[in-house]
Amino acid sequence: MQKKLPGTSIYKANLKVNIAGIEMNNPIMIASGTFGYGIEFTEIENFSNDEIGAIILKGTTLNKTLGNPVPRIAEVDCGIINSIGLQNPGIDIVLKEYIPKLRQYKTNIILNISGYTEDEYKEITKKINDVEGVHAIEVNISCPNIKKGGMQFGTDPKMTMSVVQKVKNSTKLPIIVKLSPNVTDIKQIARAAIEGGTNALSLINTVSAMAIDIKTRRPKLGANVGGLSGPAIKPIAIYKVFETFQYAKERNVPLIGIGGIENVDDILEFILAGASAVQIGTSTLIYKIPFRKLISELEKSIADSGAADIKDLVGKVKLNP
Amino acid sequence: VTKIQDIDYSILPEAFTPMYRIHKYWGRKPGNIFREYIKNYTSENDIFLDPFCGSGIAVAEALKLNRKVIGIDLNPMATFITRQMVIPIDLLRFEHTFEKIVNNVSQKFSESYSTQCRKCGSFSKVIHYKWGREKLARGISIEEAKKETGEIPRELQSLTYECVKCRRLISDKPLNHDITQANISYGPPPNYLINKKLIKTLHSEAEYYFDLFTPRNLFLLSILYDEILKIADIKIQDIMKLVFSSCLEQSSRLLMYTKIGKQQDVRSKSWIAPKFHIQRSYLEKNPLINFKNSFQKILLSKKESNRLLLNCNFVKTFDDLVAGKGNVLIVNDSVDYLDKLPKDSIDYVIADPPFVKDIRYLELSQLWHIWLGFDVNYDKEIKYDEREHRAYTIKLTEAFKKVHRVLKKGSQMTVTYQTDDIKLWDTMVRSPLDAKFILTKILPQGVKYSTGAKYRSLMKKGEHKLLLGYYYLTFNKKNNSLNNKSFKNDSGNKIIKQVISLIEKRQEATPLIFILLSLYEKMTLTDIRKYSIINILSILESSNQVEKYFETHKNPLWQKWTIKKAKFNVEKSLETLVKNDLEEILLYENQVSPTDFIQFIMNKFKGDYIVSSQRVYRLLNEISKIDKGNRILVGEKSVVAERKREEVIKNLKKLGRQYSFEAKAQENNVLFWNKYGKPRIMFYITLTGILPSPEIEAKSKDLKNQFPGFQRIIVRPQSLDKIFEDMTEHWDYIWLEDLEKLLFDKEIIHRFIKKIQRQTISRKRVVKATVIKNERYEVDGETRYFKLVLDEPYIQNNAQPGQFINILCPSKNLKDEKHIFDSEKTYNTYLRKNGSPYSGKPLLRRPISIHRIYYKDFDPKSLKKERRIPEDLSKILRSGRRDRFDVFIKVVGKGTKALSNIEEGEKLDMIGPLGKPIEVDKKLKKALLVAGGIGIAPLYALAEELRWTGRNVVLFLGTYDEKDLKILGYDFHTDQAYAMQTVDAKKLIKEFKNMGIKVVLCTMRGNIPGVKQGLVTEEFKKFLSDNRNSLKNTCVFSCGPKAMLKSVVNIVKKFKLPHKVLLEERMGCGLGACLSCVCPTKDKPFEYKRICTEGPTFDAEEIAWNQYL
Repeated sequence: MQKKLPGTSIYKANLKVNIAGIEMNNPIMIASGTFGYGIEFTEIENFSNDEIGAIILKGTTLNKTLGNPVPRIAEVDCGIINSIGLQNPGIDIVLKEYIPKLRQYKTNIILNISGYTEDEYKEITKKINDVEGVHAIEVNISCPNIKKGGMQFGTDPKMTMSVVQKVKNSTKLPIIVKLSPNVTDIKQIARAAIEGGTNALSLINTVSAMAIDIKTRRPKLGANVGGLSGPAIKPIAIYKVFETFQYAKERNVPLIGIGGIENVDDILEFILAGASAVQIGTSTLIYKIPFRKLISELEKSIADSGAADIKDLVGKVKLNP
Repeated sequence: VTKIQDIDYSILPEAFTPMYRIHKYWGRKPGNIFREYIKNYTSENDIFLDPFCGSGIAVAEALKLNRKVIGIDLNPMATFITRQMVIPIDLLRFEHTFEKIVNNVSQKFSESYSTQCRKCGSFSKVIHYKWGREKLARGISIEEAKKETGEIPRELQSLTYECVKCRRLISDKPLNHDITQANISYGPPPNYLINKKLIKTLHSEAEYYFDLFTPRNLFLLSILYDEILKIADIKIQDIMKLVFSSCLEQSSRLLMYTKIGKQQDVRSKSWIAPKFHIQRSYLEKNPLINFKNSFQKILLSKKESNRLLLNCNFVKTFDDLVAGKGNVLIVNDSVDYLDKLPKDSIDYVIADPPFVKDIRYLELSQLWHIWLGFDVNYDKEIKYDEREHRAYTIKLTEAFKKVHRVLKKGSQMTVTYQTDDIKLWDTMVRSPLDAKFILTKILPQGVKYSTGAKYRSLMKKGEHKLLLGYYYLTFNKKNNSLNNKSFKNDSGNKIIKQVISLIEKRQEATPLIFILLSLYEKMTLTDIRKYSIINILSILESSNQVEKYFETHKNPLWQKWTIKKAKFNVEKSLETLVKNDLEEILLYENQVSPTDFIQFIMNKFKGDYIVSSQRVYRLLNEISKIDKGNRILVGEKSVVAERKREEVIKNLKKLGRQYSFEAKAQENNVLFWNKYGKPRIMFYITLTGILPSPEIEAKSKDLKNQFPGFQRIIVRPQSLDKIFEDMTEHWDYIWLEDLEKLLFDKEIIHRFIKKIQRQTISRKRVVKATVIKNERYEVDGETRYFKLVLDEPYIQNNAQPGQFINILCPSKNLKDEKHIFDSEKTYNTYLRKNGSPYSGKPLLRRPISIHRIYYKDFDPKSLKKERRIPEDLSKILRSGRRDRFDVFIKVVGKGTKALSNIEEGEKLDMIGPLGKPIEVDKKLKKALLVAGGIGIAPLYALAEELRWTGRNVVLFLGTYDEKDLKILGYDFHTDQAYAMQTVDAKKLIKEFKNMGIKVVLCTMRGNIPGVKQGLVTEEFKKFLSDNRNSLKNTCVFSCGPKAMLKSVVNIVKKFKLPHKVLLEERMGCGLGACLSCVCPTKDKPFEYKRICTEGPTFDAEEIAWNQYL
């Protein structure tokens, strides 16, 4: 049923989605690492977390992680390369200090977890179970910026399956596995994650990249290499979503598209490729998006395309024969 | 152990925040007053007890303050509300569950609550039906009619519905369809309600619980409740039950209504009468609408409690509470529960005993109990009944004995109540005393000021009874119970003496309540025991020295007493004192709310000089009126101003002496501060808005020429802002309120604290600033530096030296560069000139420090002269109006290149102000600024601030080559031709020099006569060695490339000076979320701190320089 926007004759579409048990008022999520622990942005006047479908917190490890040397960020054409190195205070502090402060917001809180060993993943997950206020877990098996663990789990199907299983068996919360584009065949990894029991997949993480200052002959990042994000990687992400969609759909696993989203058109592109929801990262960080506006534009835009519900558009790309 | 001082001033109540509006309950006290008390009498992690916790306001307040809390109440509904109020709830799940329930039931509701629109014929949802008494046939009385059905016969009289098509609310007479719909059988009440009889002491038409509802609403409510019982998540189910119980009242037949406008238009009123009285005419309201309203209310409430109560874990036993397994213990029991606690274990108690006449908490709560299935122990209730006053006193004393046992020795209990009944007053004082408590303080708390017409008319009539505040009695558990000031024998005379002395102090007839407060302060425990209020009253009545004031008051507590044949000095009377104070505030404050006025007076007038909030409000209305939203003084303004002026002069003299100035007043509004016989500061004090006369202007100009460093200051109230707006020449001016703060720091409490709190929370804003000017400085035909003059009120008013803004670079100005391959220029020539070719827009915002903030009518040149103003004063003096700000930027890459192309009049998207301002040590006398290249940008704002406060400043500037120096610093070249070329530099360095700052310049490459070639750090080191002996109270501030900073750090270390560094780093979000811009700091092992949030200024010692690449 289409609803009219108040005071106009414009129809707006339903944006409510349920991603693997995470009930969201709209399909817009904020990508991990660009929004800190959900409280930093609220220092901006009139910025509200309530309008966002879900917030994914900064990648968290079992113990405190220091992170990589500076510079940690470098701008390149149409994108940003970063190498933060998972700096975070450790799961205990996050659960004690940050999660309680997020209960005041009417949004889904998803904790992104990362580990150096399988057992670490398991241990973090168990700790999350004891706390009220986390709605889902995003398992990061694709961080390109740490020396061991991280992406290693995300590039080997066997390891992927095993780590996903461990997490899945330790919690009742829905889990999302975040996939890396830095693999030969992303379907293999998606398959491993699904067989491991994940409830949803988010893709893609940053693309391994490097930039060099020709004057100093030094890499532009302290850690030499990093992960590329921003508009530059959008076409790659669209393709990876498209590539994974059919397989995941058959197994009822929804996809969350990530990569270079800057506006409503980009969101629709991801939805058509097969994403049920999207994550916005780099743009959040730069523009401090007024989400209320973005969402009402999305409602209108979908209605304009003739759909009453965003779900009707998922994977509806018309392929050329 | 530090002795806790009792709270000795009345506190005005604040309105309930959404958190406390979670559910209806009776006798609720304002949270802010509880908060002050708990804060005063306990510290963190102390155990706080509320033995009659009611809806849990004190419990929540104690939790906010991180206390461990025990809340006890006999009423299961009270503990249920308390629990639901403090427990953290997942808001999203709460909302989604609510939506699901509404979805599931809405079909049934729209079937039962529907009608046809009289205008367009479409089906519409009914909001409510109005039932009224049936017109009976002639000769049949109500009693007879009642006998038939056991009820007054009622009929459907009208209904109100909302038509979706007509888009409005319509009220009309019922159609046949409506009448049949109302009278069809809805089946028997749900099982759990059958046979549930109401326990009632007050007459009611309803006998069974379900009689309180119409059959239709009962049916619909049970459908709703069944849905709630289906919820799997117990926490969500519980909070949803609260939503349900909250809507019961509005869905019942207890609902009254008011007529509005036409006969059919009615609106519901809440359940006012504290009894189960079914109105002859009542509204049958759609329960789903009520449910929705209740949900919205509770959602708001939970949003607030989730935000404020970050730590809330329930425990089941006292031991667990002590062991720290949780922090809240809520018990549904009578005070007998206290017997289970160990003695001397509680740190503080607030007791709000149940006694309000006519309100039977337990009985009334049946409306909720029965449906929610709560069991109630009626036998243990302490209820007040006038006929059984003695029994009530005994029960209450017993309760206080239990409290006394568990309270720690030396700890306090505050009892609060609201009554005008002398007998009850006596009970409230006496029963804790009988339980061996010692009375230490009695305070009446103010009444909430309201703008409502009802309040105003009550104030006019002097109906204090209805506007009575609450009383707060504080007791102490002590070992020895006697102090020395015993009245011993013949206290009757002593009491009279005390009363006379009090009235003489106040110079006016005094109400009994204040006499009692004063007496209790002075009497011993034995005396208080001996003299009940009734005794004291009879002593007063039989005395031949005091008498009742001629104006009689219905309420004996507010009856005034006076000395026989007394002649009061009106000038010294309390009334005049309060009036004077109010007048003075009004003189320079016109936007303060009455609440702030009243609280200010109540903080000042306490003890024997206590005044009621109602009286302050009355006086305020007498001497002021509201004009265009501002409160202004009525009557002779200049008289008040004159008095105030004298006081200001007196205080300025005092302050001057404090800073070793000689202070001399001239005429009645000019005051000089002299030092060594020379005038240094001239104050012109105007409180009525008269500008300085031409003679005074001339004189001050004269003095300004004569004595270096001479300052002129106008002291004026803020309300005169407009008058001074047109002054062309810059006068330093000082707002009276700021001056007051300086002068009476300690005395003026509340008002200023509030004001300062408001000011310090300056949030970050995303704004669009207008470019006023873009000054570009070119090297080899390419812009290398540029200065933007910007206008954005929020940023310029809130930014401080050391802070920065995050600018989104415009992309359109890069468009030309797309065509680089089209022209005859080769790729390589292009590269040489422009660096790498750009494609795509610059993405990240660029962090740019605030270079300069402009003050209206202020010329920094005036800072050149010697200037010695006391630190505190100078800060306040700076409160002038700001109108623009500058950023100074070097072109280094794509973003800055794009920025440099911006034109005048365009807008820039930016976030600010970000980062921490630079903190300057109060004792600092000399500042050494070391800048490398563009690092000079943030140091200008700092230098101006330092010079303003009279600090000695030396600037060291080093640049890469002479081209940079030409722009950043060159202004003294002797070669005329060369100097001509540097006109574009606008001589930044000259601006530093104009402020009286010594400048040392260096360049690494290029040869400029008179400028050292080499590293700036070498020059800096040389300076330190040469001035080795005069480095006391000196601080170094440095900003520039990392290599330079490291070198400066090493040099400064040798001289053991404090050193602050301003760091820069490639930045992501600027808010501390992305962790891109970090620097290693020396926690073991080192830790990365965020430059955008914890910086950009750091103590040099804090940084782990070895780790910093």
